[in-house]
Amino acid sequence: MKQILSGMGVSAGKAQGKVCLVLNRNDYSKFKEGDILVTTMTDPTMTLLMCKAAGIITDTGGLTCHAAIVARELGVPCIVAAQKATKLLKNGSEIHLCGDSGNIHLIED
Amino acid sequence: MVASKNLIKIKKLCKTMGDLISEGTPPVWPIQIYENEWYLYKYFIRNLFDTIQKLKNKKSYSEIAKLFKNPTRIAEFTYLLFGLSESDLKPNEKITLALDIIELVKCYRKKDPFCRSKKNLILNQNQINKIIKSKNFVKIDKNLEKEKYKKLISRINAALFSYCEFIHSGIHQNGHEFHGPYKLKDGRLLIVREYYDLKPVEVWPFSKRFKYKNIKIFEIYSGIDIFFDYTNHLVCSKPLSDHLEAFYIILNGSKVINKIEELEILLKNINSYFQKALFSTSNFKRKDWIKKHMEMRYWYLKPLKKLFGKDWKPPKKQYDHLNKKAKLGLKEYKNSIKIKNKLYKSIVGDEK
Repeated sequence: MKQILSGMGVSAGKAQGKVCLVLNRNDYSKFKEGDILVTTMTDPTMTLLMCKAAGIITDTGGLTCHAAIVARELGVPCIVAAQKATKLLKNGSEIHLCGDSGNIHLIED
Repeated sequence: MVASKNLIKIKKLCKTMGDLISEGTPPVWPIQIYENEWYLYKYFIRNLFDTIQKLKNKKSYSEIAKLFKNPTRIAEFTYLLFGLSESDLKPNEKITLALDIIELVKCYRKKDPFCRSKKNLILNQNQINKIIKSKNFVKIDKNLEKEKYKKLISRINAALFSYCEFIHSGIHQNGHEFHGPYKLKDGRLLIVREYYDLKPVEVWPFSKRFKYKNIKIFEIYSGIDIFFDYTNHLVCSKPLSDHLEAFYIILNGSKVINKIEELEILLKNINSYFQKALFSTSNFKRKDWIKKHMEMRYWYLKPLKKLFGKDWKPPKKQYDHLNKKAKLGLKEYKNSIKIKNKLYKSIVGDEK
């Protein structure tokens, strides 16, 4: 496993799964249960996706942003402020994230 | 010359805001919040100020505070104080407005209006005892179906949170009041989650079809630290649902639900209604969202205006103002001292 990114861990726990980049509403239908949701910032329109996600990573945000609050409610590991997540992570890549440390590791590209 | 005790109160408010804003990030959905708020500075601040002053002639702070329904909705007005220079308030009026906000919040959060203790305590011990003795609580920690209960409660909270964020244009706190944690004798924590004004029909006509006007969720947790800040963000040390031990829900002030089938129906109703609401705004342009944000702010004053027979609706000049291009709002998000000083100067001017 190679660490490729890090951010602020805001919802504890570990998750592993395939990256699904969600950059606009057209991407919502591509998201599958158990995927890792990767986006610039979550919003209320994404809540149903967040319920299905194994983990969540956003480019921006802090301890009290939408992604952090909803992820903690759902018990889904979440890292925010990863800054380049949507640029560095590719659709379908298998990654591991730790919502405590904020570290993201690549398992398979 | 401002009385020194009043300056101390204002300084505490500014420090609270400095810490709050620097630790978080401003909401950017649907519109960056400081840009959205800019449209309220010119006319709404005056409206808010005049409404409160008029009521102060007839009502106590406590009675006025009840009209806002919960402390966080009042606390949220603090953000408007950054834009005082854009309003036509005189120097002494700016200070009065800041002090009014503090006093109104204090009516609920008596000892700690700024939540510096990281708690939002608005119930007294008698009220807490009454809740704890309720036979409606379902203990889920030893229940065979505990995982199902936990999943449903967490999804209900997530759905309601998102719905509040939607109808309040990103400022979810204007639709909920989470309070506590109230420490129980055995060390467990009671949290009360009030979701209210879920049907603001005058601003969001489709909310007429939503089944729930308000939803109250009582939750008991153990083995977890839960914190609240001045504007009602919930922060916790571990995943919330893992530590939920008991709960019950009251719908519309009277109907108690605590069975799995009832929770499933509630979640289904919230989700399906919310999807319809999202669909109805799928063609919204930027200006449409700005208009809704503005209208909701005026709508919060409806119970106050009703008392002297005034219409809550924004004046025409406010709608015309939406055509202007907003100035960029608060730029410094991460420096708590700069934010504190900026807010202090906005309220008090050059007074030391």
